[in-house]
Amino acid sequence: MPERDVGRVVGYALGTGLFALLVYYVAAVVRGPEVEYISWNPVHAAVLTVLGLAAGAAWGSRRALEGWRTVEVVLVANLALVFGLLFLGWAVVWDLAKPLNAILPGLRDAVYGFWFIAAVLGAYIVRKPGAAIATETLAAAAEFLAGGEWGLTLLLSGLVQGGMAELVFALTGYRRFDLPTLMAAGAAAGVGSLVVDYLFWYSDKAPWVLGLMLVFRILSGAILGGWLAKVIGDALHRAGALGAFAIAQEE
Amino acid sequence: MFTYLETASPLHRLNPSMKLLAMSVVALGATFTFDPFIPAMLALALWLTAWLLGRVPLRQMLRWSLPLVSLPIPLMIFTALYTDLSRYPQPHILWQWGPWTLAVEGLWTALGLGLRVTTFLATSLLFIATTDPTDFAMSLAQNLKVPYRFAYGLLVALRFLPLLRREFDIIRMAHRIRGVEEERGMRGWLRRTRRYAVPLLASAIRKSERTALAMDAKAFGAYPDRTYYREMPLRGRDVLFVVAWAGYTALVYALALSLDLARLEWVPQAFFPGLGKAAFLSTIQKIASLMAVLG
Repeated sequence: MPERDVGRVVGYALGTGLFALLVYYVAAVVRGPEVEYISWNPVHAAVLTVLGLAAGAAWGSRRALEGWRTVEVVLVANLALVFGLLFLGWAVVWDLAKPLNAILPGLRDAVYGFWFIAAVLGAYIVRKPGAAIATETLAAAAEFLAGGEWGLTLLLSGLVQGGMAELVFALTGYRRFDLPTLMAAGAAAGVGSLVVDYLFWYSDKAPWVLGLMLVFRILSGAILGGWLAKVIGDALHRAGALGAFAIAQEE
Repeated sequence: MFTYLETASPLHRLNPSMKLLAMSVVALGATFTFDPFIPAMLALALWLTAWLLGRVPLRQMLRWSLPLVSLPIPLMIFTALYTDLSRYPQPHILWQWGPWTLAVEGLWTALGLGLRVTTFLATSLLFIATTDPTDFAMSLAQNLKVPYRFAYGLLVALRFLPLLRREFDIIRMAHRIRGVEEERGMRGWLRRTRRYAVPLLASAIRKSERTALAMDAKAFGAYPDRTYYREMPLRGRDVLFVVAWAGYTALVYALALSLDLARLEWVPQAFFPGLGKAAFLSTIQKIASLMAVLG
């Protein structure tokens, strides 16, 4: 694994994340009295920081994609297509889960995590910088092209969810792909997903509702995104389908 | 849901990347407001453009209009019940039971958000119905500088789509011939999914490997740049299309501002003092008094 690629992903991500936070801090706090319409809001600070982290991870992993083998590119595109269609179908589950919110607002988000599985599974199989973000973004593109309910916002969702998962793998130097890492990547994608959804849909919600949604998305991302990706990846590995990929060189 | 329609129309001839850009501008335009007026005007224009300029048959447009209207409903219900009412000095509460409060403010916001989903769906409809997937992949590589190996990878995957369905049928028949029974109910569905998922994914992966091998053998990706059979040039009309949509979106905003129907949440309000919440509150006031007259 070229150390430069790892450094680029982590460096860009942390750089842009902290830069976004700093700009918001300056605008809201340092220049507070003059700019009366922008006031410090911890939710907005978190939203901007996470967006910065994901955007930086996406930009930082661009160069690494050039070093991929053809077979990895085609595999990721195919995985993305299959999961893009499954994501489209998952919208039905999401609609069916609507009554859960009557029990506890945000409980419905417990089924959200399946939408991150492409990012985790792609990275688990290919194990190269950019795998998580490429798989998730392409899956989102496939879902959009197949007529996904959320239209073009899917592309941003895919990019941010993939970017957050990518960051977790980058922080381990793309060396650890055990269950805790995969679950952490799924959970991070969950944080990213709520940030995008906050921008588009939920900025009107009460803070305690947003907090509950965040908790359920993290749990759901860890289980349906992280754990399930390991189950599927291992099953495919056992079936002997992954001989050409890094996952097979584990032992 | 929406599918590509292989016909000839002015929209079909546009550059896919620029069409995507124009649709992104419209979708972005729908995200700055919580008022129903702006997204309604945008969705209406998209619908009419797809029908008239995209030459989508009216019958098809009507069939596709059902999801445009029905898909936003769950989000609308959630929004109506959980709007943060503490932001408003005197919410007009219609109904209250336990943790749920239904207020005019919440309903109006829900309508705005629902129409935002409709606008997003309408941008997808217009784009998907009038864009050849192959042209789109070529345009991604040529105009948007997506690494061409990934653009082609996407194209390969799209070509696999019909094969995938056939593969699924083969696996099902293979199971049936070995006497695996189709179980019913929730548990049966879960077990079936597990039985199909691994063979289906494994076959997709094996197909990827074989295709990649063939691509490598033909020296695909050997050079950083490549030439194309289908050129995707940028013409004046493509730019005009983007400018026209940006202009229309701006026009709708100007109209909404003059009618007091733009509650802008994301535009820094420092640029537009006196806008936003005050206009929203006056709209709510009007609706509430109208309802009082009717009720």
